[in-house]
Amino acid sequence: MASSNLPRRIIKETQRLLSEPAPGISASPSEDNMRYFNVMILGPTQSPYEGGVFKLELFLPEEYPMAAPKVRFLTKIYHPNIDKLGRICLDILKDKWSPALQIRTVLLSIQALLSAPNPDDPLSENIAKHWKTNEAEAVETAKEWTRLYASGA
Amino acid sequence: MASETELPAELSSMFERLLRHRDLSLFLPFIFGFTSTNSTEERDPDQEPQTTDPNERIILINPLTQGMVVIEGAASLESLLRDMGNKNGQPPASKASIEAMPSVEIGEDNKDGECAICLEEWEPGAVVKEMPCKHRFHGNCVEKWLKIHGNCPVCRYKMPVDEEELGKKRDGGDGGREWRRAEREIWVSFAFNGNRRNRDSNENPSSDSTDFSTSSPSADHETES
Repeated sequence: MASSNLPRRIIKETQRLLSEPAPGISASPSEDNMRYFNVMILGPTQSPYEGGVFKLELFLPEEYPMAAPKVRFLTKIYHPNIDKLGRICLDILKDKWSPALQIRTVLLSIQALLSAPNPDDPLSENIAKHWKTNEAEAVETAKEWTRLYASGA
Repeated sequence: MASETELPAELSSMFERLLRHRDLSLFLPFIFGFTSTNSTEERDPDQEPQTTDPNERIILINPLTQGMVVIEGAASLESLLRDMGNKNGQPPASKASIEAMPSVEIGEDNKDGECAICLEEWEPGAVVKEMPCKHRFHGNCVEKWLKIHGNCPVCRYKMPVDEEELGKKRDGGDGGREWRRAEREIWVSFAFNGNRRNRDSNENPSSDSTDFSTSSPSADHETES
């Protein structure tokens, strides 16, 4: 685990993430790159993603914490704020980033986004349209995708 | 198709660097010009932006800085613009407001807690900076942030913005110098299948660099003023 040039903040965050993980979230650094994290988020209960295990990748850029981490879903997901490359539309990952935010808070925000899809600020136009015109059907599709792609098998 | 998925990330990081080191706002009219023609032609609004013809190419030219960028895969431009628009955030705090922050000493009564930026715990006797909203950080930590975005990391309290710097672009200090140098150089970048090459077209072959932030003034130009 090469961590000689790793800022102390990253080391601290990593230790805290491993020792006190947030419920439904796991994040562990890659062995060859301590700035790259393999992340798993459990689909929140009462959401169409319930029962799903979603894999994400998180990367801390050189400027971190002055710049936001880069986060992407690796598991296919039907969500108006996540596109088919897994990119996430979330303000704190863009213009609302603050260095007081951490890996943990970012992942909790993403978990919250799964509970509260926001079709008014879409990243996937067609999914958002689906959500707005027929929410029940869109939720069914999201559940179906969760079964198909996020079953954790 | 690995190259397709890698491209947007590469482009956005390229523009992030541009944003940090140059005045990208000069590019915007041209970029917007290209996207508008692009979207009226063949773009299906329902289509995802990354289903791109690998041969599509966009050339952005900025006559003011003599800069040119060639972007392979035109459809990724949309996500690029979205990233750029969002990247702005709060402008930097004014120099005066940063300097005006009082230094306070951590005493026995307020030693609990940590600097929210570096996550180091307060040590009694340490001298730290206090923002107008009363949030405290190490001087180095908070100044670094305020020079990028002028708001409190904890409560987003907005610091005063330097009006002159906003309106007239930076002149004076080393910022102005960098600006003037940037006007003279010509830089060209190519993106082919995730392999980016990048050349400064001046007489100095040793300045061959892969970093956009490196600017090398061309030696033969006449000095201005």
